[in-house]
Amino acid sequence: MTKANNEANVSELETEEEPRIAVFVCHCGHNIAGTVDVEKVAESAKDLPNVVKAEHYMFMCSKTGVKMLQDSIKELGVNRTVVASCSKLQHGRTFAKAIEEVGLNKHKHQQVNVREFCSWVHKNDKEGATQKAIQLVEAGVNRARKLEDVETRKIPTTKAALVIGAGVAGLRAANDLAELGVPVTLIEKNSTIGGHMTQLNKTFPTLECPQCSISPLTNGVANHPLIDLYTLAQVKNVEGSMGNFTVEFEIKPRYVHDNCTSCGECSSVCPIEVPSEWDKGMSMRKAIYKAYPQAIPSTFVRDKQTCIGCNSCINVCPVQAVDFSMKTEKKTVNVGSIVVAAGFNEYDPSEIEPYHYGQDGYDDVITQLQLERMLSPTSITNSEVLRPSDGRIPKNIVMIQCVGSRNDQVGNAYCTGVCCKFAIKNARILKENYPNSNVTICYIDVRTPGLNFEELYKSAQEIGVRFIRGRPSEILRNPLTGELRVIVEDTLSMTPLQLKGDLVVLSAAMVPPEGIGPLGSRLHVLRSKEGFLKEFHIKMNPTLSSKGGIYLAGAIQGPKDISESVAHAGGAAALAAAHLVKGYIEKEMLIPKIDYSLCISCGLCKTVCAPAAIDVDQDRVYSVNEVACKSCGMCMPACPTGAIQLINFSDDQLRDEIIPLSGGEAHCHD
Amino acid sequence: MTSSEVGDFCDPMDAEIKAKIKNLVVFMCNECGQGAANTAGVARMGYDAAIRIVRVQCSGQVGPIQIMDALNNGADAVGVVGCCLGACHFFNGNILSMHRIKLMKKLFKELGYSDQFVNQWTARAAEGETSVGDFEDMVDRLAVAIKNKGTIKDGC
Amino acid sequence: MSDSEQSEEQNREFKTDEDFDPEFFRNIERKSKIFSCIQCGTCTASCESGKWTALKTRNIIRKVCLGDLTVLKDPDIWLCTTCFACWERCPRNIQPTGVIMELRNYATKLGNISPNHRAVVGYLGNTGHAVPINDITKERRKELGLDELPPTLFKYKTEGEGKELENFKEFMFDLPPVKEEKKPKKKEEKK
Repeated sequence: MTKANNEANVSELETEEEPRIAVFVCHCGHNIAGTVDVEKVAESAKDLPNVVKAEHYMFMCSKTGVKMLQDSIKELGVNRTVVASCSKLQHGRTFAKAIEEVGLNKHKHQQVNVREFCSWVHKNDKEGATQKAIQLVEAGVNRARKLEDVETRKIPTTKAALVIGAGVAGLRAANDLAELGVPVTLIEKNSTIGGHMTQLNKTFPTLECPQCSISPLTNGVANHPLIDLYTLAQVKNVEGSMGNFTVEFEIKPRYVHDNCTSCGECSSVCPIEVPSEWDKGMSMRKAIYKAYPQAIPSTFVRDKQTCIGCNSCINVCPVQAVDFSMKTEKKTVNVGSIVVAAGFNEYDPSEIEPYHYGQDGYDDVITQLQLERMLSPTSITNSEVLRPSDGRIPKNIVMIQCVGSRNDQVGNAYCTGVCCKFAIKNARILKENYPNSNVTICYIDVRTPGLNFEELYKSAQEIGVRFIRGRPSEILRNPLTGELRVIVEDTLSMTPLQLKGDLVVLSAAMVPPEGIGPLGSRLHVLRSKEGFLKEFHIKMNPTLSSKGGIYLAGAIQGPKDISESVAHAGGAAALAAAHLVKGYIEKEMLIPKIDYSLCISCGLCKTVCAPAAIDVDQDRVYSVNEVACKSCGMCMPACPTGAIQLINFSDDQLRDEIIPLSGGEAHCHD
Repeated sequence: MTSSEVGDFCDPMDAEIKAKIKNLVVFMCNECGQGAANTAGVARMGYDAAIRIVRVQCSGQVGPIQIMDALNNGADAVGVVGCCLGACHFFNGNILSMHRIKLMKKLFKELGYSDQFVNQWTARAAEGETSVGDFEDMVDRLAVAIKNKGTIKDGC
Repeated sequence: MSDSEQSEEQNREFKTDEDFDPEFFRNIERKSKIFSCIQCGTCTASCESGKWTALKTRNIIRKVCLGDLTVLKDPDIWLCTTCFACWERCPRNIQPTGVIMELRNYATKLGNISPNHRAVVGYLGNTGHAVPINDITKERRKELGLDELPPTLFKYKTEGEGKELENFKEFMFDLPPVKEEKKPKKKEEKK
């Protein structure tokens, strides 16, 4: 299959310098010499083609040993070295550095492991171990023969960053980056910044006001000289790689200019009313509106879909800020890092049929976020919790946990990990505000890890919140009275119950945000099976995505609460800033080469490449992105013609290594 | 990875069979594969001297060319060791490798050879004993295959 | 209730590991993944029978997970109507109805089949029908101009080559006899 390729490679090599290889076999005291006959191995290496020196020595890693290596290069013109000793991890770098000191490219060293892979594991078979060592050395020499120089390149980076999403994680990341002197472009797809945190009434465990907590950050970011904020903006195209991305994003028109004074006149005369998305449907907004009073930016926004074009707002605006002719803008920025902080969505429980969320007659079944909206200071209900069906204060409130979480059937198998905390927080607030009402939480397990959370649970129990261990099977509605009943078994006392639910609150899961599919594919990052963006390593690198230069901040990487999101974002910002502040990326160019005489532009290499390091242009010419490439070599077997070969790991070079290890007798003739 | 043939018992130490198992090429990935082999070495665990390890960047780098190079030039069997599921340093190289080896096994079977001449295992860098077990597994499977169908040289 | 039965086993004493045998139900576990039950209680809350009877589906599953063999003596497992509501709603995709049906098979082998179910098996054996025909239905049939007995196995039970019903009865419907003592009898025939 690749004979033609081989010939091309071999002839290529013949025009280069003649390989002169030095082989050193280490005794490593008794570790190797005790099992392997090192003299015999060194002797056998002398006869191999291109070997100009083959010796054995007691400790190659010692100063003397290293000097032997270096002397062979200086005195004998050796241009490739082979040391048969311990593992590559142990001393491969020692020898590579040693040869670099005397002017040879450090990739011209081949480490052969005759200790961990041979002498230490074949203690009872000295003959077999020696025979194997001879083959291993021959394989190493074959490999060394065709090694090429690999340069380490310093790639300058663009000192700028893009942060996608202006929730609490995105704001924190943007702020931290800007404080390090990195100019930040912050884009947010909604009309206001602050994300879900601004929708909350109080945050656990201290029951602080989230608007107050986040306000310094939102204002800081909005006014920071190094941060450019764009709302109603979404990423359209991403090109380039770590250190040098070119990102194109689209800004939808607000239809209101920045000189808007936020007086609200336009809203008051607008005839159109629709349910407010920000208020989770608990109140109405006009077609020209501001999501909530403290929103940043404070400029109003017009919803073109519902606007009927009566122009009342234009007529009444005292500063003529309303302008229906505004158009979609496109902007392109060059950045060195991208931080994705796109957040999450609340799970839509309509999928769970027995709970009847969103169905006619079941208006009193709401989610926790909707409850937060009612409780919050600027709510339409004046912070009272009222039944959506008739506006009365509910006497019996039942909360249902694990809606859409821990559910293999419908929803997601994972535990969100935040719902127990916020349900208990809300239950406590409800019981404090309405001491005469009955507040019940139906749970499977109560999960409140971390400082202060078990205490929160205990305080909720003490104040009289009832905890029933049982997952409700359904919510029944009396068709005559409209009364809702929650059917649950109290597993701890083995009693089936029918709980009256004047208001039923579902603790819905945290799921990936809308639009993450297209965004993820534009960024070429991998997603986990639940739909969140996949981190590079769950333990050691939770803020790096699968692609270098793109970092994950906050709930986009997996459900987390505010403290975790902020910490996560700080970590992402630090990683993102590193190569920007340094000014360059230092990378070894261990990348594949493409032989265009063989390439048929099938694109299979690009399909297989996980870090998306293979680019294609309009003429269907494929090329390797040097910065993004992770040197894994997966592109090689995918290529039907063998056109793409990883440097120093080509099919040809691997064959040279494989042949002596296989026994060396070809018995199938092609 | 199951074989219709495994389930027979065959003593790989049987002299006649042992004489036929001389060169077993195992491709081990740079991360977990090499790590496991190193761990096994450091712990001085013993295994058959017929095993020869080739370091590759990722188990996903090992393709039909490498496998056939080994088998065509005297190897008695080939093994590919990648990182355990979820741990691939390059995300899905180990999964690609699994699928590829599975296809190759089917191909071997179609051609009338035993499907035990190529096998795939996963490794964890700190678990040397698992890899040593896999090496022994390789020898056992090959012994059964040789007993039932002969070596790859015989079938050529 | 099973509790009163257990009182004879001195329920004031602690139970120990020897009182449980989870491996006994390994076959059930293999098919239904029953060990992943989190005891959430959705099955009991959904149970149509449990609303009116003592059947606590979740508790039955608990006993299976623990390997508590007294579940095979529990009369409650015969109260399940196999409506499959629990199967549909279980968040861990376990199949409680399937487990209960298996438990019934095990219990029957030990002679613990409930009298109602035994009666139904009796009808099946004697007439070839789980719900045999009665006089009112026979009258109705005559009024409509049909034969009194529909052309099923019951009508032809004395005809046919090998007297089919008799054959079936012998090898299909031989239940272990009604349990007299407390100790479970060894099964003699296959169900």
